[in-house]
Amino acid sequence: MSFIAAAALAVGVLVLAPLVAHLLRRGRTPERIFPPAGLVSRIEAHSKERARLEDRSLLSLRMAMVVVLALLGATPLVRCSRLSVDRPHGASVALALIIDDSHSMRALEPGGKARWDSAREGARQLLRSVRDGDAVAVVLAGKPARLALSATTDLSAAKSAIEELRQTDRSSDLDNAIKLGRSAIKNLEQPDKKLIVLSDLAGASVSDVDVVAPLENVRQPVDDCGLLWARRHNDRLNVTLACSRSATVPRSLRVVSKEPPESILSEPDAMTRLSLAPRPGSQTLSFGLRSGAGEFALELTPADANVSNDRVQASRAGAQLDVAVITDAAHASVVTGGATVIEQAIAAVRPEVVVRPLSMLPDETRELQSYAALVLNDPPGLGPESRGALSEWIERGGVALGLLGPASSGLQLSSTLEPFAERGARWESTELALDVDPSSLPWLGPEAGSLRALTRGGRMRLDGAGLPGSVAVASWKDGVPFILRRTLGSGLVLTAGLPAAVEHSDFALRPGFLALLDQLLGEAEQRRGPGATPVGESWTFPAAKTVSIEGPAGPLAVLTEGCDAGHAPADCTPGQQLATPELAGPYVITSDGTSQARVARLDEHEIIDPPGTALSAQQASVAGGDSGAVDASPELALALLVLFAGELGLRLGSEARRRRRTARALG
Amino acid sequence: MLSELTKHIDWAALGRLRLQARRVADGAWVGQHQSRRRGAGLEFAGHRSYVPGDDLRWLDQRALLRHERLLIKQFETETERTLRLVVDATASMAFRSEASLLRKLDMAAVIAAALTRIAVRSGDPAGLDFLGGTSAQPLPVAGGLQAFERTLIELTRVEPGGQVGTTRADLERALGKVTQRAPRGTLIVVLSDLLELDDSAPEVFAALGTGGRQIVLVQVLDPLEALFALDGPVRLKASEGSLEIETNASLARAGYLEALGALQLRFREALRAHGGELVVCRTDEDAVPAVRAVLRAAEGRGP
Repeated sequence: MSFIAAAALAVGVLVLAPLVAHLLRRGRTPERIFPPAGLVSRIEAHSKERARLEDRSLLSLRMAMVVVLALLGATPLVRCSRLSVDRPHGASVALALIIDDSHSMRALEPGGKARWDSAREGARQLLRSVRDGDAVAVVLAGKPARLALSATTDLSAAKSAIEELRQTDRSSDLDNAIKLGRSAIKNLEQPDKKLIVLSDLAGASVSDVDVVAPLENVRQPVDDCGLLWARRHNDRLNVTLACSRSATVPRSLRVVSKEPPESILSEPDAMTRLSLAPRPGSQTLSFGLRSGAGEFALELTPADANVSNDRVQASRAGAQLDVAVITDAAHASVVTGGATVIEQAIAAVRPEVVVRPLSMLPDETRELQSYAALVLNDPPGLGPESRGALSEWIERGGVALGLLGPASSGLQLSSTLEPFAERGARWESTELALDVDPSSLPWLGPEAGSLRALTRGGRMRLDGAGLPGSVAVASWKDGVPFILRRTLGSGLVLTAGLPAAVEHSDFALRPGFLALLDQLLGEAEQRRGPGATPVGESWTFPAAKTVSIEGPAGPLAVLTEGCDAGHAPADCTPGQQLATPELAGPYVITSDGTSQARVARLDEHEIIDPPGTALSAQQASVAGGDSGAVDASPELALALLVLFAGELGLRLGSEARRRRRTARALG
Repeated sequence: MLSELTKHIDWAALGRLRLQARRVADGAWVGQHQSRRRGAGLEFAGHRSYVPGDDLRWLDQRALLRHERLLIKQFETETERTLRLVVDATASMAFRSEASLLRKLDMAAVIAAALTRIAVRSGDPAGLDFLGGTSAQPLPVAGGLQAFERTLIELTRVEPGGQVGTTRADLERALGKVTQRAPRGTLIVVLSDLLELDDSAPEVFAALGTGGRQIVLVQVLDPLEALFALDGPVRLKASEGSLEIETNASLARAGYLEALGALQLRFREALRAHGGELVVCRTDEDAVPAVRAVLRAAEGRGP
């Protein structure tokens, strides 16, 4: 604290002055000449008491005024705990506020305040410290990152934009939001440019020097388990839930319906007895359904830091699921002829699934868009275009199964096995009949026991070949990973260390393979199946159709695309209708008299990923941080004015009362 | 001579008092004024109670036998009647509250000047005496406009100060000078607030009405004194003496008004016993009704 601030605050000692004056004055009643004083009776004690009572309010006001004056003298050197824009050069600032409106921001902080509310309050505080000449842009970090307000010097427009923001269930797209924010203020004239991220940074970290994430309180880990979806398929109910790494309390699952659980579940006790350990990551549970079961929802108990994902409506699976199979028919067929073993296995597991064999992996994402799952058998490496298209498709919710074999080990130049494995994966020839450890894949059910003596000519060694984020979900008995699981964006990648060609292994003929395909199709159904899309992904409808959508929060707006400057020409179809679900849950789309159910689903990363980190040194230097110097002069001056007005009012009121009494006495 | 006497006078203030006196006098002037004196004469004008000093020749013996009361017969006669004005100029007469534009002494001066003008226009002589005050010069009885002008000058020049009547002897000594200068038949009009006086003041003032003189006492009060329109705790200091009272005005008002009423009753009863009358006026009111009340009282028709 500087000498000036200390001196100004020392003025606060004068707060005692009115008190001393009051004490000196106390008991001394006002004097006046009154010739007939001898006719007046003495009422001394009561008059003193009245004097003390009347003076007390004035005393309080005057003491408060002295305190406020002292603070006013010390500002803007007084520090307080609100956010403000730091101005190291004293010049105007271009500010990009990146506000995370993803689902994870719904969680409550340890203090009981929602992260989203903290982020908005932080934005308001920052805007209060913005001055004339500063420019503000607002970017939303929910996927896809959007520009809520282009850079403007109109402070009222920025405040309005902040007030109009609504929380969504989107997944997080922080990297792109930062890029968007940076580009929004890049060409502005303000010499200081700041990107301030108001986010929990779930699954991310801020390392850029020009980016500040000041809200440390929203980055506290929370205990959260949530239901991602509950999908009915024939007589089965598949429930997928996810838990954060900080989840500690075991959860229970219960049916919420007008009907009793006995009329919905074939084995209600199985759900009642279930105690879900808070295991980080996602897991899918399967229950039997009674025929004719009505509509119902599922709920996790007890409530946790994010109650919005503790309940989910069970939805019915879509009618059609397209699966692409890419394999060399010469190696993946059986001597009896017909379709490849993969196609036959899929047809055996899910007869309703439409299997489409492809000769090669497409180079463009749009060619994969119609598929929910893809099975790639013993690929001889993936070229750059194919890798890019496949990765983008997976990130949008695709589920891919890679069955690696000897062809995958002899990679050509510029070819890799991404997104299935690193180049380090290698084929190991062996004459031994190796077993898969059944205990390493309980998620496959009893069929896991069928994976014994699998190898015939060798196996693909996946140890050390896992890409970042890969987890071994099944292992050989010698500990070498057999199946890797990797979440990529909204999608999933499964990598198995055996091909489907029967000449190398009869893996494709085992019940365990069918169970693996069932899991694969279940995941695909949830992620990319018809009617299920991630929150924030737009639904498009033909131009001429009349479309209305009813969602969890009421009607959903359907917009008509105009192909203005905001859309890239390639993506735009004039007159096409667009609707973007912002909340997770079931939607009913009515189009030209026919109804269709769709589900906007949560991204499991919004629950699983822990809050990220940011460098504290950057916070203080770039944004002013949580303890920036704040000019509170306007507020203090206003308070002082109010106090002055209060004293004046008190005096006027007292005088008016005295005059009224006098007038009454004078008749 | 007059110019020599009055060369230091504030003529603007004098002019104001003159105008006020004329206005008040004209307002109070109702038809041709008849200077009436009750006493020996031809036309019977009624009875009054006997007071020591009355001429026993006018004692109504028949009334004594019939009512067993000593009553004096009064007769009306038209004659020259002397007006003796006694203006209280003690310190308490300087008082003026926020509710009034005039000090009590100012109001007393207006009434005194108006009465002088009325007397002069009726052909009666008038004289002026002061109780207390600084620069106070009593005026001998004289008639004509010159007497009126001199009265104005003295009323303008006098400043309130001093005190009179804290003891009976002090009061009697002050009023004794008036008595000496007022022969029989003189109408004595005393203008005072009647405050801060000895308890015997009513009797001492009433005694001015003996010896064939008539006394009319005009109590001039500030509205604050008349109504005690104060609130809350207050410390009251008397203007004469060192009396200080700390009180709550709201609570003490009723008691004060009662005490003031009792004081006025004592004066009224004492004066009426000597054929006199008490007239009460306030400094925030018009002086005309007060002057009329004095004239009525002088004519024996009550205040």
